[in-house]
Amino acid sequence: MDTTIFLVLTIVLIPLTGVISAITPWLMRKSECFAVTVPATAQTDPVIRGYKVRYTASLLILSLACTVLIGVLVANANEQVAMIVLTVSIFAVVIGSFLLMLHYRKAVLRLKDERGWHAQASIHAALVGERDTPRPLPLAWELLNVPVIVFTAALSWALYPSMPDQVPMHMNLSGHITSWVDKSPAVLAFPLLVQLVIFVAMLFSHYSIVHSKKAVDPAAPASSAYAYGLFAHAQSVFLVVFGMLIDAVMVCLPLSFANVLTMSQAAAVVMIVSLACVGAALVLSIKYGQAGSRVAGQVEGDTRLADDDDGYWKLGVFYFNPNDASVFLHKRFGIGWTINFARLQAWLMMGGLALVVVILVVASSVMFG
Amino acid sequence: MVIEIDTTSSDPIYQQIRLQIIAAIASGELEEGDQLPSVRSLAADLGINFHTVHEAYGVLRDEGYLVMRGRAGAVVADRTLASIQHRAADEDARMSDGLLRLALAHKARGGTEQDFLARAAQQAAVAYKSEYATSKKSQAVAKEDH
Repeated sequence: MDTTIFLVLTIVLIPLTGVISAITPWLMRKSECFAVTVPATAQTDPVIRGYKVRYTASLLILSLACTVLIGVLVANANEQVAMIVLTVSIFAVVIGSFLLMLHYRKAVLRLKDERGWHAQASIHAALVGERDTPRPLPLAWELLNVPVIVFTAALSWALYPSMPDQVPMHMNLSGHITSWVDKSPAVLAFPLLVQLVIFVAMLFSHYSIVHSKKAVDPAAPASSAYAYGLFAHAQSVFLVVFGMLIDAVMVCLPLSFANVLTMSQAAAVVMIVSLACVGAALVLSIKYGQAGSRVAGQVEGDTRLADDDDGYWKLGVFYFNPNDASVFLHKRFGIGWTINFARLQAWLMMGGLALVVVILVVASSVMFG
Repeated sequence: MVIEIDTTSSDPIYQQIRLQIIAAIASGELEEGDQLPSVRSLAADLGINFHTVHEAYGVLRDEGYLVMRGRAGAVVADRTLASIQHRAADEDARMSDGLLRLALAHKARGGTEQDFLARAAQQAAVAYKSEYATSKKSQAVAKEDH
């Protein structure tokens, strides 16, 4: 029973990830299409619409095919192959969506030249001295993770005497435990290390939201700034809530070590939370759109291009602009934020984050020999 | 208030920022004690180098429109402060010099004193009706349409 839930949830994750990637072109700001700056009126251009429809259809078909294949493999009890296909599928959706974006980016760039969509100026706008624009939650909210981590540590310590000499570490898809390790304090440190990695990642993400460039459309500065504020606030709430929830799920590990939960039950809880996380991300994406594009009251029929910064976006997604003071800014294709690769601080922060994760991973592998 | 700059314009960017902040103070959109964003944050939002914003804030401080107030950063100056009044007197002297230069140029072109005064009065009326900020913006849009 537990195993079935786990399997179903794992399989559902693929089409859900597929849908999020597939609808991306429809969630972007109206002044962008496949990471190319276009006038807002271009969104009604039949050729542009055609590109977007084809992109969405291709990704939906790809993720559907992967889901069916995994379903068939699981039904035929071919678990090892199913696990491999599952991993490959996730990569296929991620890489496939990137390659498709590059393909249609080229097409849009050609069309842009044909239609003569060129910016006559380079207008940038910012809001100054406005107090009622929504803001992201302050970074201090991430401290809510600390009691969760402390609670996990306390629970592990309390349950330690009642744990068997060997605790389960890994199981296969049908719920049979395939590896056991000797009980030791180091084993109990494992969930705490995972929590620390999540905590650091959430802190970094939250910091980048708080310090990001605020997206303001010069054609509608006040309403676009308000929409961006709502978007950034919602994303920061999402980070705090799901960061805490994922940290809280780690409590399942000491509980399964102590046989309070079976490993399948623990895995099912992990899957339910992961699924809720992806589901909430999908809902937020559709409700707000990238940088609040689906909330902003766009000025209709705007044929002008206020600014064209295509040149700073390498391959459409890597922003490199030494003349821009911003370290973090909203992505051009996809929901969320990216970094300005021309800023040293951006590299230092990414490097620091990678270093912390590597140290924690190495620490945990050293502990388990 | 909304600050809007055009990085392709021949006017230096720091001047564009400076003029818009002065216009906002004149129109009452920015009031005494209003806090301005930090140099880094405004530069990031405008997508420009932070030295440019530094320059704009620096000139505005020298002219007595802004003061730096510890943690709050740049704040719109209180006009009753002695130091600000001193700077304002300097600015008034500079304004008189500027007006003299403009009047001389007008005379050299054969313009009459009455015509000069009428034009000065016209511009003053625009500024005091606090329409400057809006008229400035429609100019920017018109420029873009060309």
